[in-house]
Amino acid sequence: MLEDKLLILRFKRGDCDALRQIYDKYKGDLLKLAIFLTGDVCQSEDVVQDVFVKLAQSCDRLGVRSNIRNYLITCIINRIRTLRRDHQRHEKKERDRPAIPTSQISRPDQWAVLNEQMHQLSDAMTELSFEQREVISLRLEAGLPFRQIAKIQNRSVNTVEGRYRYGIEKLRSLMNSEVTK
Amino acid sequence: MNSADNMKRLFKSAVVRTRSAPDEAVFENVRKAYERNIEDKSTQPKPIFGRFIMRSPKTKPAAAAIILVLIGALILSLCHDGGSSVALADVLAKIEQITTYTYEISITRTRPSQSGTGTKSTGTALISRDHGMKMTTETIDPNGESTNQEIYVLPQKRTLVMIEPHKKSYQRYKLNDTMVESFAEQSSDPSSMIKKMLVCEYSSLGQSVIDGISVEGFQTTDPAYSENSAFGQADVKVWVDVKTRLPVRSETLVIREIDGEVRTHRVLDNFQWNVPVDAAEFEFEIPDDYTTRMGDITVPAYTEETAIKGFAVFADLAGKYPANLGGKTFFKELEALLAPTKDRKRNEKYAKLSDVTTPIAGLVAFYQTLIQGKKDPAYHGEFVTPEDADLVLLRWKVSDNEYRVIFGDRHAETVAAEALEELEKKLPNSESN
Repeated sequence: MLEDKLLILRFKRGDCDALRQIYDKYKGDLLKLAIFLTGDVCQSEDVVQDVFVKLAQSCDRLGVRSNIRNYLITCIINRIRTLRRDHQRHEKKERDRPAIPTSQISRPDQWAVLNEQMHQLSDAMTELSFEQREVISLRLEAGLPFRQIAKIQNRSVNTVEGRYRYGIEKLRSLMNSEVTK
Repeated sequence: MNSADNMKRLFKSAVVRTRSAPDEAVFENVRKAYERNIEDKSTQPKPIFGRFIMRSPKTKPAAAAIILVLIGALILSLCHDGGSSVALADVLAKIEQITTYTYEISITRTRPSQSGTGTKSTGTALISRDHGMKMTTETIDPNGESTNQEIYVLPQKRTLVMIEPHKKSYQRYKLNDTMVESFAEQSSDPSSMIKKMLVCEYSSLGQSVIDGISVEGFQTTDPAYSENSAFGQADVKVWVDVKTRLPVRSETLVIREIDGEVRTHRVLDNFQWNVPVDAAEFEFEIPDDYTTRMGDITVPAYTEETAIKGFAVFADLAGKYPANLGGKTFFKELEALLAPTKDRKRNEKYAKLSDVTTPIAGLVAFYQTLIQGKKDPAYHGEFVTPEDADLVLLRWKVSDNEYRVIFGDRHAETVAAEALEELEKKLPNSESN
């Protein structure tokens, strides 16, 4: 945490190396979180890039005492929610599921490289509702407590715990059937 | 795959790596954005807005904030609003044309220690750009006890009054210039809310119907909305009439951690715009048998002198400076200062509560104006003591290459940016130490 505070201080003072360190430290986790939430590698890469650009543009607004990890996670969530809303407005027939599972995407200029487990897991996650994906990703990937996730989803802790339970249940059965195939 | 632990292990074993060529390309974009931002901040002279904000000593932070917001609004209305039929910047412009309006307010505050529905306040507000603001509220606590409050903010009379009929008490404040001048720009809840949203990341909630009116909703949970606020992170929603482009309802949920989760939910609705207003509605009367606890309080000007006085009072009572100027730690430290004491000398010196609270509140307000004015302030109270004559306690930018510095022993100097860099290297938290 102290390391992050120092990074923020240097970052606010215009130190490009500090920006590089923040970028290197969090890019992988943010990509992973975004892929779990969107199920789309290409879109996740755009989201993470946008979030880092936004961070770069708001160095004067970031408080020295800010938790940069939580700040970045919140930005990722907000950005993905905004994209989902825009997408839903334009294509009302679209469901929560992304059109293309991650495993079917492969581009030569692809930024993120997923291992086998990541492919399997992110594909299975696309079968869950967005709210379930959000709870599970924030709990297991970002390590946020249920109380904080409840705050983010503007729902009670009980509802969030329920979403987590049912989501994990479904994920487990999907992964089991994947294993037995 | 039977246990939750297995699932956790699976998440851990799922890994995303990055390819170096695209990685460098992405970072290059980020770096360019960063350098552009730094350059924009440091390049002087700037366009007229920049000069006005940074150089004019008479510029009030509120006015500076408005200009920033208007620039932000312009940019956002051009590029941020895709897919939405109502532009939030238009809403702000519409509200700014309104001269009088009323709304109803409802605030629910729940604490983990409270049973039932928590504390609920309801009331009405009347706002006139010519006369000021009047708000009446009724609060019912968890035990069902009811209290009333009337608040008048009257810029022309430089007065703010809070009257509590159930206690037969009142408190009167004499407003300073900044408060008077910024009233017209900052008093109205919906417009200040939208100004803040415009400079944050916000999203559309889509269209819906409230009380038969077609509305479009907007929401922000951007941490920047509550940045520098002592009141916790906010989730703000505003619904706007798609025809008139004026707010119909707003909801703000703030969750703070104070010995458990304290939730404050505030709703503004039933807005009436451009209502006829009688000046007599802003005249208040304090009955003869009403008393005041702290006497008439003059809100100090938000100046360097006020800040130094605030530091002096705090250091005199605590033997040190506050670790920060806002937030939970600050309020805990202040609470300790205000605790009753048997120290006779101290009780004589600070006979009235306001002898302590007024200068310290002035210090905090001054610091906030530096933040809002984007004067690059930095506060080091955690590391600097009243004996440190050569350590920087508080500094802020006064011109392109100059900073004003209040040192630990509370003398103030204007120093060049390079000299400040050297001075700040002496701080115990400096990277060079």
